[in-house]
Amino acid sequence: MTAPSDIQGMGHSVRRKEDARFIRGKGNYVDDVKLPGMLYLDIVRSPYAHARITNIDIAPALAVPGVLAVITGKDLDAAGLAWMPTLMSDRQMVLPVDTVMYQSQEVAAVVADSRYAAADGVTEVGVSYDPLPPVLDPFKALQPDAPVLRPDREDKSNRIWHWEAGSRESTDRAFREADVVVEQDIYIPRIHVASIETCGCVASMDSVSGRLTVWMTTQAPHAIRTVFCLVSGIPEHKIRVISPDIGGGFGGKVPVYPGYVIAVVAALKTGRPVKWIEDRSENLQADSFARDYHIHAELAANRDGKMKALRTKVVADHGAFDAAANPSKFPAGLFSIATGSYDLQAAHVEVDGVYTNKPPGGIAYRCSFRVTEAVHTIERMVDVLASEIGMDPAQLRFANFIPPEAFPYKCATGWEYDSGNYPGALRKAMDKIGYADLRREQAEKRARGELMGIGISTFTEIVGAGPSDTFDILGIKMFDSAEIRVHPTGSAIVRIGVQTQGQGHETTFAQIVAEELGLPVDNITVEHGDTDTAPYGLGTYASRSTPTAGAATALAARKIRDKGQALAAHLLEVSEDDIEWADYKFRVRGAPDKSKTMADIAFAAYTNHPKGMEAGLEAVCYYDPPNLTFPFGAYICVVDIDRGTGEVKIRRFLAVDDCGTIINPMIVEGQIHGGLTMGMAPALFEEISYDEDGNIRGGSFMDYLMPTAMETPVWETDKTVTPSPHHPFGAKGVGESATVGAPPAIVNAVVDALAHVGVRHLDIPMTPSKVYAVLEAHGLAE
Amino acid sequence: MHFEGRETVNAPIDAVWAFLTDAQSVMGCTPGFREVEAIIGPDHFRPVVTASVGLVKATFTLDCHIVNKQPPHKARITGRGSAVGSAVDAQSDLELISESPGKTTIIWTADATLSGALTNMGARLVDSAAEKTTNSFFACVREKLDAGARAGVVR
Amino acid sequence: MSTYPIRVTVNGVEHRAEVEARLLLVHFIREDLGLTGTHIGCDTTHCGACAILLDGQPVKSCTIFTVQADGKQIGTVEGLEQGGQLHPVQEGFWQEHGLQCGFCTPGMMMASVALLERNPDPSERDIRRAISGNLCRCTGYVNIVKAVQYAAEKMQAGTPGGLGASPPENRVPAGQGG
Repeated sequence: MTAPSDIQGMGHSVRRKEDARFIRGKGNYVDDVKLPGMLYLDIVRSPYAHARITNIDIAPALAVPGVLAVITGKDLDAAGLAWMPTLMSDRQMVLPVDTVMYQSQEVAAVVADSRYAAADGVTEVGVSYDPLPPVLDPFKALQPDAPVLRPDREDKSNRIWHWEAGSRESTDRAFREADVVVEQDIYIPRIHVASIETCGCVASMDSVSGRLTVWMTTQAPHAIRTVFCLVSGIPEHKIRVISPDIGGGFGGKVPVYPGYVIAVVAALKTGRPVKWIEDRSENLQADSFARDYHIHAELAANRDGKMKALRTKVVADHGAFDAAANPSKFPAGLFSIATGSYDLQAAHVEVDGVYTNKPPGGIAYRCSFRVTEAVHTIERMVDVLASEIGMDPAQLRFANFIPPEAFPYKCATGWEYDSGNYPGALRKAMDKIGYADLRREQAEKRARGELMGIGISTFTEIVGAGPSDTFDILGIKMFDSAEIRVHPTGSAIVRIGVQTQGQGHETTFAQIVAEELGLPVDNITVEHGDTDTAPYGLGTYASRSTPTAGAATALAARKIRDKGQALAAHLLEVSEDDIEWADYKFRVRGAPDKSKTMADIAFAAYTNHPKGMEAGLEAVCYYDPPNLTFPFGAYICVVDIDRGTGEVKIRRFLAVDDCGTIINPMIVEGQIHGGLTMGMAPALFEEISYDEDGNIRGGSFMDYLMPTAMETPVWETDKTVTPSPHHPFGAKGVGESATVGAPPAIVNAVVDALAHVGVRHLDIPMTPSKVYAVLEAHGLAE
Repeated sequence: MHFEGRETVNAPIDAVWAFLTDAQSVMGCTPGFREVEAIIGPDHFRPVVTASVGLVKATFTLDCHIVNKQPPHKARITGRGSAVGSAVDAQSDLELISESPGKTTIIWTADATLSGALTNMGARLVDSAAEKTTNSFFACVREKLDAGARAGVVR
Repeated sequence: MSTYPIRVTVNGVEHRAEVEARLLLVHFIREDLGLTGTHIGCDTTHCGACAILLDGQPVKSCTIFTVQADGKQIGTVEGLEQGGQLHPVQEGFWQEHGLQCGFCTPGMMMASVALLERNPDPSERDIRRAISGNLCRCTGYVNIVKAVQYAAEKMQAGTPGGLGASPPENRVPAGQGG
């Protein structure tokens, strides 16, 4: 007899099932895959940011013992594979035929029988280049006299696209009518997500069956399978993509990197499995970056603090190819959520995407499709306005929040926010951290010359892409899926279309089914990542798994419950209408002792089903979300600035998050801890920049600084719960909330610490040298 | 990268000119010089040079020219070459001024474009490594020329 | 390329092999010995995913040649579980949700085991310093510290590891409710 406490469904901090293998070192990551006869691929990369290739001499490489083949752009071109489509309907070179577009771009590939021989081969490939001047500044790239970086594009321009949202007219009018306008240039530099596992794959073609199997670090195996089919011509049923265990994704494992394609080609060419695993430096130098938004923002308000309108103009540096994996109608992602948590009467956003001689990408760092950039903009502008009109930033926010009764709320750029309680979250955060006391402490410290700052960020996220009328990736609609099969003895297997990279889906999705079907969570297995068996899904990124596949799982379970209702009626010899589902049981209305558990039902489905009913107990659901979901939060950060070094110390950071219904509180808290750390990192440490010759600065962990346990504070977390009205169990998703909400809280805190000397804004990362320069400029340095 | 400087050498201008426009002498003072790959003409030579920045060593085969000669006052030395994953394109302008029969001032500028692994792996160290290389070169030049002047011989 | 004979003891088992001088220890462990629990996360000795115990000391196996380990004792994550019993550090990571994607975890655990062996009652600062050579992008370190504290407590109490295939008791973390 199953006790309700065995079920451990929604809301329980179930310890993770997947940990059993990870803590034993028995995970199965791509580099752990070993096949008989497997070869290794290593890549020759360009030292130049822009150059013509005049010659590639492969003979010395072929002479290296163990090297079997060297592949160049000319080889791929002969097979029509030198270029491939990107997920943004641009195209990208797999290997260049004649021109290199960014430093560390793939130029040739060596296939050898050992990892070391392949590396030896790479050093022997002789590539001759004619360097060309690199275009590194997107503003210069937009000048009429700038060299055309992509002569292969029809409209020979370095402007990739121009995109707008909101109403220019209404916004301009609101600005004319406003008492106060504040404006600010905000640059959010390029960063790299650097998950601890780099990217890679093992490609293997079975010559007998004609089936291609690719183990791959991918967050979206089905979409990859379809892309491979379209690019290679191999029929889709003969391609199997397997995402085994993935060591962190965060968006960095969504794009199709040239290495994957070259490995597949090498597997086909040699008839043997080929493994490609990139080094960390290759990962940092060539794989998809994030951010690189040059923002000019303006906020219009009345003198009493009522905000009226937001206007932003953005130049987006996309690198040499537009390969950011946004939904196709949103080349600037969901940046138009920059209206934030506030009731603005008008807003206008315009973004120009620009080509430069840098690696392609744009959204690979836990950003929910540019929501990090949007929230950074609005939360900074709110503080700039607060400073301008002399109002406390918390007070200014309360005066402008979308009130709880206004939901569903349609914002000035067209999004319909599902639910929210912004004042509740901020009030909770302020009470918990003792905001008034902190302000008093700040005043005392300021009088003594100590620099203490308090920063707030009240963000609204937008996740769960997305409804089929507006969301697709390369034409594939962004539904997601789940398939559940219950076995005769009452356990179940669930297969989903999303792909964990550490989010704990093997546990959380089991909990969803446990809750919906009243089966113990230990009796439910969750599988995903194998395109042969998992139902088609769009994968995990942009915090979409719980809103989409989570919903599909609940609805598939409810289809099973519907059938269970009929079976229960049959077993209990009553009509279906007399059966109700309560306390994890089917019971007779008015006679609750007459009941059947799901386990009873499952057994009956195979041994005692009524005539005319199909045997078995399973269901599939492809869920088309009716809307996105809008998690939100209120973050408060307290910093102390060292006047002798410029170092910013985060003394306290309280994150109050609302992601609606919580499946597993322990896992949600873990997501927030990790997200806050990935919010602090760009705020204080991380930056990928280029010198005037296009050399990357930050091309290895020697220069790219990420926080260790020493730099990371003890994060404080709390929650409010405002369910999503349109989600089957009210959940919203949470994976990226903290990365979105944290950076502006930290910037606001540092600026707040220096507000008394007139500092309005600081661009991130706020490194000690940058902060120290500001201290010096204001006579505060020691 | 751009560097410039002035050095004063205790040697007559003709000796300094002869030294700085002689392939063997220049190569002999280049830090990391390994061997001569080829000497194609009096003003065209190919040294093999190992440069190291931080953890990365790169061995370049450089194609060097001595051009724009206006003896004994001005010349330019150019060097272009690549190593595995790195490339360099550099030129140095020299101007010699005779201070006295036994003393010459060398005014020099150097412009170098460095690309690839050398810059990636040791981004923060490149500038100081390049400066160190240039200083080392001129220290060697000074030493050789002073010694040569003392010995009455220029090598 | 010439090879050298080496003899190493890994998790108590002796192995003999002929290896190239340049073979990194992490590759030997992963590919020659098939112990893929030790991971590679960078190429500049920063991330610590490859951390193992070399004669009891925590060492980054990507920065040691296999020949340098000749005659030594190596401990990897696969050796933590003994006789079906998890090491308290493994238990701690599981109980306290000290891992998400699991990729940094073996190195993180080996560094923690080494810490607890030399300092059975570490402060929070001691723990953070001990794992400062291990990068994690998923957890934000808070629960990793708790995992090590759990293990320290367990080891001090002298209770052996007691978990096999099933996860520990579900405990409610502070701040998130039930």
